[in-house]
Amino acid sequence: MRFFTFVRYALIPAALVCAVALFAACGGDGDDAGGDDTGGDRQTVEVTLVDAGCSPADITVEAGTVTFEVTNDGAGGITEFYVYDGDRVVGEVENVIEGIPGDMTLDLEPGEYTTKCPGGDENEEGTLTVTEAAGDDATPEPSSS
Amino acid sequence: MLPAFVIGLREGVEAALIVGIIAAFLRVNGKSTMLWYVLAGAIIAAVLCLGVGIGLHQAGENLPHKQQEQLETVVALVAVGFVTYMIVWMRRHAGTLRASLEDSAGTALAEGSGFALVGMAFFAVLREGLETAVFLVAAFNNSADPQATGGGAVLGLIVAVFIGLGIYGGGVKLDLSKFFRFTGLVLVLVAAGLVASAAHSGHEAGWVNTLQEPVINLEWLVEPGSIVSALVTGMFGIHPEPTQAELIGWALYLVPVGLYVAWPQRRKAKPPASPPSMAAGSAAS
Repeated sequence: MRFFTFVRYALIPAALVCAVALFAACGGDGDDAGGDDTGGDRQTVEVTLVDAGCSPADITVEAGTVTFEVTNDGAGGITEFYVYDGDRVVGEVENVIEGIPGDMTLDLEPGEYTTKCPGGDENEEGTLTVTEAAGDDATPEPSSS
Repeated sequence: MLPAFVIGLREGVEAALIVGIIAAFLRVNGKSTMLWYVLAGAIIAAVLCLGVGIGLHQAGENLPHKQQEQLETVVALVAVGFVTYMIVWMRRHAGTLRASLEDSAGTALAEGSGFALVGMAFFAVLREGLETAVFLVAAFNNSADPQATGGGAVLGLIVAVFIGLGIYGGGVKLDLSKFFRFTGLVLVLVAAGLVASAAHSGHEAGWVNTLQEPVINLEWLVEPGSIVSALVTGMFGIHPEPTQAELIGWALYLVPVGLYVAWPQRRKAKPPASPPSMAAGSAAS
């Protein structure tokens, strides 16, 4: 029951797990947030964090690769933007304060998602509607309604 | 400047807390020589993170968030294991080691094995450091006013380092039995907070996907964006709107381990007249 006996047997595997996780974090392409320039119709949505929460609160995009560019318009208590599929986090941008924007790129399937800007007032949560992609010749159009 | 300061402080305090506790633990247990390795481990981790942050910025890439949250969750859970064992170890030795710490406790810690704690310090810094480095690089490069924003973030980190030093210094000043008793209770809160943090980052990592309804609103206590919230969230893992998963994890840890620490030392029905060394011996056996 020596402390360091525990340490020796518990930490070394744990350290390995961490190292693996780290290499995954460093080396991984980021399967959900890679931001590669491949693929045709990339859409960009601008989201602003305001005291009320997410602005706009309701967003509609087409299925495919969507980049969310998040800025903070002086909302002191809000620094994060999430996209949820039910209770599951699809993506998040953290540490967005006034003057430091953040962005993330997601591959979205059609469906209803929830956006969340924790700390906001009436628009702490919003909706993200992903529609079926129009024809393959769709032009890249920023759509934020 | 204030929002950047708050973020630097919050991320910094989470790491500084663990490193400070480890350093105090090693020092109090007569392993002062290990302190340099702890420092070196923390600095290497910080430099590594800064390198990753700068590299990602140069490449125009984002930190892969899911993996980063997974790393945070794993390290938090490992830290819970560590802190728990410190708590148990302290409680068992609180009676027997009350006299002189340097010599008696030193024998209990196997020579050289303290490197595992050094590793823990390294990973604690790595856990918070990646995100912080990315934020720092952005603050200096992408912000409208780099000096105020970057300076605020750096100032927050510096304050966090001093808090870590304060934890170390405060822990060292206490005598051993007080250190064990007092620190034991604080550590229970810290570890419970780490469980809640793991539930939080585990959710963001995609591992915890149920029980996500917010239970209570603690914004009166940890007003988002305030310095108090940076400290309370950083040290005790208390978020403004804890979810069911966070709260359940927190309570499941806090209640049994808290009772274990607070429970009177003598468990066997011994006559109260027995000398303290005997009582402690029976508790430790």
